[in-house]
Amino acid sequence: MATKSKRRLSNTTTTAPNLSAPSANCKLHSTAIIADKAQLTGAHGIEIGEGTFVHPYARIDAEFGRVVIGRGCIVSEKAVVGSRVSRGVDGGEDEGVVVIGDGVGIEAGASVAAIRVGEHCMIEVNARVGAGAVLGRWCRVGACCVVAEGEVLEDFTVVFGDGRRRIDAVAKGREDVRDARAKAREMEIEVLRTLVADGSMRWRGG
Amino acid sequence: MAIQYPFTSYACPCSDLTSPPPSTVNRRTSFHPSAIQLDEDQTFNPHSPRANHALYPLDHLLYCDECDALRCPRCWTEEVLYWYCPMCLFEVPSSAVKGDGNRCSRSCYTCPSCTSQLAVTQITGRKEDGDATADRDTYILQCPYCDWSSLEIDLQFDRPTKITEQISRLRKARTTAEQEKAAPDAKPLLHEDAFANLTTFYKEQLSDTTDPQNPYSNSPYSSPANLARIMSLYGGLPYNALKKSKEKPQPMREALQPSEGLRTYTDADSDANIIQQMQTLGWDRTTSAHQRNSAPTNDDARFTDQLWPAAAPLCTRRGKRCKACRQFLTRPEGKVGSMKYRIRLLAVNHIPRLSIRPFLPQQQTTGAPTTNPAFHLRAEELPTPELLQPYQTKQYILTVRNPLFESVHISLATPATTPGKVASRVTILCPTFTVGPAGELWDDALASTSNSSTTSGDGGRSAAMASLTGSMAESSMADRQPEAGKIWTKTRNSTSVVMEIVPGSVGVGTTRIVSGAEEHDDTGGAGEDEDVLEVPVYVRAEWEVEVKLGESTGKRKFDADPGAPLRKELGYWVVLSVGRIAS
Ligand SMILES: [Zn+2]
Ligand SMILES: [Zn+2]
Ligand SMILES: [Zn+2]
Ligand SMILES: [Zn+2]
Repeated sequence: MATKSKRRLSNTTTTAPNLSAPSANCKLHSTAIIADKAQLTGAHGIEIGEGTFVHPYARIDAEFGRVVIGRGCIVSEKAVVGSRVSRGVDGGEDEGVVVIGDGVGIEAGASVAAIRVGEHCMIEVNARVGAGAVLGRWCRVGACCVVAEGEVLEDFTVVFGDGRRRIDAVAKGREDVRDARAKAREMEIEVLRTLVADGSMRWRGG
Repeated sequence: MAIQYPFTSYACPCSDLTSPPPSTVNRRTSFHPSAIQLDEDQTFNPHSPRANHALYPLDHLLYCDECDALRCPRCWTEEVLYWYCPMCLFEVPSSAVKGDGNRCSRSCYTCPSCTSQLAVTQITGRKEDGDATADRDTYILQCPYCDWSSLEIDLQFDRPTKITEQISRLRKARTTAEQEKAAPDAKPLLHEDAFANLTTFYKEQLSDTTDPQNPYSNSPYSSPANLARIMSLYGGLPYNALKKSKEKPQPMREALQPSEGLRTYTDADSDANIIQQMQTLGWDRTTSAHQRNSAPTNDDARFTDQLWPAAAPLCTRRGKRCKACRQFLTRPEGKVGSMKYRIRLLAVNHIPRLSIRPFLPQQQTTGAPTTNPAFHLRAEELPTPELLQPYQTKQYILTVRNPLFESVHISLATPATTPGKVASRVTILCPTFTVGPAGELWDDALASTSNSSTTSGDGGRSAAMASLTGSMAESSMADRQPEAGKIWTKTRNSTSVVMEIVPGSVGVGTTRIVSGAEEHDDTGGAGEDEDVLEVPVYVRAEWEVEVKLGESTGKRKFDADPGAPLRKELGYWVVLSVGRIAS
């Protein structure tokens, strides 16, 4: 119930985005592409790594804490990255901080409020990762699946179906499979680069 | 979502709850409403424990135009028209289904972990095997949803086509290797082998004329007739074999050895072993019953790493036949993927439809359509259901809508008090009336003002809406009062009358107004849903069909002259679920 009311809260704020210019604290890598229609909001600052791609209408929300996105990530349309809860794992100093590792794909409509998302994770369409969750490396949250607030997923976990979890033994055991998946993500970014113009000048302050 | 009152449901005549209409009325004479003497015994009781099995929403019912009767799922039979694979949309001939089973034999497989469709994926064999095989691609089956791949059971294919062939080859190679590894005395008989052995054994049994002594004479499968019936269910046998077995009713024996398909307990995997494995692997890696039943190859799989991809089960497209006269009630087109029907006799198009809504004298002028729950998009927007207050008279508008192209004479009969533990008083102010014929889809919407009592000249959208929702410009007659014997409103093909309901009290120890004939256990309080006010209404519709000279009437027989109009009559029980009574 608590998560439901929280979700509703974040939904209502989506309709009226706080467009306080975050440019002062932004560190956007020069090769990152952020579409013109993407929304980067919040005063805590946003860091976006090398070659990362942010789609139009994606929202990165640093109002309650800093958002760090690693290299070679994709944030799709209507995805929301950022925590709306101003507390850390142990109520400590990392309030509302969201750190996304390298090569992470966040699909359309997904919302990620996790403290940390390990590298090469895949958050599928409309999935929800609750505030304070910690995802290991190579995790996959299936379409419309939910990772509860504060939940910790070990490396190679697949969340699918009606809340089921399993460990992807193939990805765990075979480097070539992992390489193939990472390569696929890189190729996707290559294609996207040719399709969407970079609009990141707005936030680079130049 | 919670049920939204009020709603109506229709009783199929196949149920013995729907006994013939109360007093029998002569077909040829017009009758008076007072002629309908409802007997308590014969009234359809919506609170009867079995009523739920007889009542359906009108949209779920079909109508047989040969028998002139409603048809519910209990009175039609389904007939498989064709088999097809839901993944590749390929039609599978029935002979292939009988021979190869009910699974797609092409390259369609489902994920054993999550049941979604597996995709053939190419992986480039780099690194691992060195440069020698660098240019050789291999293929795997991969689940796009949960990332399961056939690599999990170490399965790779050389070609992206003919997956079924490759899988069976690989499985055979692997299982024979396993068999050889296992101790010779505890060789587990594989499911597929056991089935094959058993099939050949039974076929031999059926063709053999000289049978050995039957050691299992008390088995239910011992008689050849039984066995033949079972075999025809599960695979089918040539007709000759069946015939032969019929001619010579000889006792048969059961399989006695593994070579004949007998499969007994073997301790190939000792229990202690399995329990230990379960302890280390945990619940998540133990297979579920659903996974074990997904395919014959997974029958013996105890852990998820033993699961094989399951070939896609075939789907069927079915026609529905009337049980009484065997004619098709619905028959889809014989083309895979087509959603069209060649025959579809829906009850909606054949019998007058009843609907009920509260009568609100000072009705809002324009907001009428929004009060209909069907117009709400979200569950939250729905108004909270209002409870009915006992002994407070409420009026409802009962609308009868005619889908037929002839005008229909309707008589409604309802018991004075509703059956069940809570007796409510019901009065229909005008129980007999005529409903006009239906026209083409938009005819009545466009010409809505022509037939109605009011002539609001606005036409257009609001009139069309009013006609569609059955609310005819009530705002203009806000001060009109319902009168006995008068219809309330009338459109081209619908007529509304007013109904008065006095809900009874739900409390324990209610004195019934009429002592019911069937009071099973009145000692307790109100049972489940006894507080729902449900009004059974017997609808009798009569109309005349013009039979043109020279028109073929098919199999239908009637004793009237060919030129005279054919009189038709239809009676059925409708239950109006009005709402819950406050207790
Ligand atoms: Zn029936
Ligand atoms: Zn198929
Ligand atoms: Zn799967
Ligand atoms: Zn029939």
